[in-house]
Amino acid sequence: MKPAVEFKDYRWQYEGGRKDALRIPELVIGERSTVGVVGPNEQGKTTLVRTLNGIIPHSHRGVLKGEARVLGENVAEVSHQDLSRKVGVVFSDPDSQFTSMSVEEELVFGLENLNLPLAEIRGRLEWITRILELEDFLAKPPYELSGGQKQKVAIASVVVMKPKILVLDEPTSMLDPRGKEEIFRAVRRIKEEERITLVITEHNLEELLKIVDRVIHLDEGTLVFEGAVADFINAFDYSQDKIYPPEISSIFDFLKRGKEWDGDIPWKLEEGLKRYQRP
Amino acid sequence: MKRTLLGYVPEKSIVYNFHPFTRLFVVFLLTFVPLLILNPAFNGALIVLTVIFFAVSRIDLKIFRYYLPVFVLLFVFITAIYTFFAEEEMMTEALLSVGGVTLYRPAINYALKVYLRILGVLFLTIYFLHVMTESEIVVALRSVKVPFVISYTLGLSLRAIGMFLEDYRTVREAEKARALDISEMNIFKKAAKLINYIVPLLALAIRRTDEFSDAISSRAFSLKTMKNRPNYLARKNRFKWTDFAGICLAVLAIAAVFYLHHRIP
Repeated sequence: MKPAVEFKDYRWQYEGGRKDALRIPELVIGERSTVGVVGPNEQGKTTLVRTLNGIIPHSHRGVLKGEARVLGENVAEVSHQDLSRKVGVVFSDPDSQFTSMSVEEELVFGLENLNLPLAEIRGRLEWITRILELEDFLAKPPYELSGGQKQKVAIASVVVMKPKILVLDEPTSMLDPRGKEEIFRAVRRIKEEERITLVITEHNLEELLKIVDRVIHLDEGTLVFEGAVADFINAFDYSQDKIYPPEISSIFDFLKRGKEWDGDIPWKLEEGLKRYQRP
Repeated sequence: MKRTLLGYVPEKSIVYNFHPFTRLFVVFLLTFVPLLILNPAFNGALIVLTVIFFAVSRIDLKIFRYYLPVFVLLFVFITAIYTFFAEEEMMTEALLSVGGVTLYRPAINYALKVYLRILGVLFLTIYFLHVMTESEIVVALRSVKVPFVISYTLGLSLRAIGMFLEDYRTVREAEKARALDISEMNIFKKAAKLINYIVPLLALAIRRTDEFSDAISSRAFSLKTMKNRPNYLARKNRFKWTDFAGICLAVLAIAAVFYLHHRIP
């Protein structure tokens, strides 16, 4: 698998900061993989996202050491605008991301920026509205949409540009449970339809771990774990209270500590129910 | 129902057979009548015509009751101005005198003419805001190749107004939860407490600006992309023969109005 993102001895410190906001000795994210970035607040997740689309170092002041490569290009050497064409980012606040006055306008805004022919714009618009079920919303203004619908439109408006890497920065943090569900359904659909590299930072591990192939765990700005979901969930320190694992994993950890279970810890409810049989 | 700038209106009506630019142009053209003509017959006819537009667009005429206080206030204000600050040549024929205040017929006549003139513009503006959405205004401008920077800035400004009002509502609720409610205070106390609203609103505006800037960057927007854009929405909303007919009719009607105005002494 070709690498989509590579970090080597990477360190970033914001101007005026006392310590590194992000420290990644070595990390490779493979092309077309789906990676979840987990960790408490203010521990480097957003800094990682900003590095991936070049906002860091181009739009923030600070000290960069080491190297971060996205699609083979050093982020410090390629312009933020060029990188934005390959790396699409969706942020947490759906309201701040609406750049236009209707859903249709929002979806074609990025395509117009790419200067695509009209037929191509029309085709991509039809494609994205079909796969994310946005047909009924096209003429609507942003204030008529729910939080989940707005975020779905924000995701659609980036996906329609067909970036090679799609980064979702805490896409459900400002949504109600129904909105969260809607977003995770949309992300699953994108993963099925488009084999692109997906990087998702998220607090809701319950849903996140069902989607991703690998997990990156950041703590105090440092990469503390990178690996498959199964390895992450089995190596997880269940006594810590910075991030919350899926309920089913916590139950199995409890059983394991009480010698009631000696197998691997599952992270999906259905899988847990299937595995667990009372003695 | 369709949500426009001033409320919900029926989605299907004859007005939506016309391109957004046609609607913008016709209303813009008609505003020249009250702006340039003082004759109450013309302005009265324009008001009647606008009411017909409302009816044809299937907008419930009951909406006028919401604007009634504005119409009354405007009438009182204009009449008061021409009662107390009328020019000397208008103070020739006394109509009546109440409590030392004399009303002069020429001044009141002139006040009524001015009132009808402003009412004409007001009716047209209310109609325009009832049949247009923010997006349609942007489409109208782009259709006639108004530079992207202007149409986009206008669209963003309209969007920003909505966001600001939403933020203001949030801040007001938060302040109320902290026992600060300025609605019952007098104007001086309100002014003194304004800082409690301004600081969070500014902080929110700065945060939103930062996030918004990141959002448009991640959609590949840059100064370079402002030129030679494909303009999908303008191409999608094409002019039809009805638009050309509507525009021609409006131009002819305006020409006829000005011709008649010129001929009528």
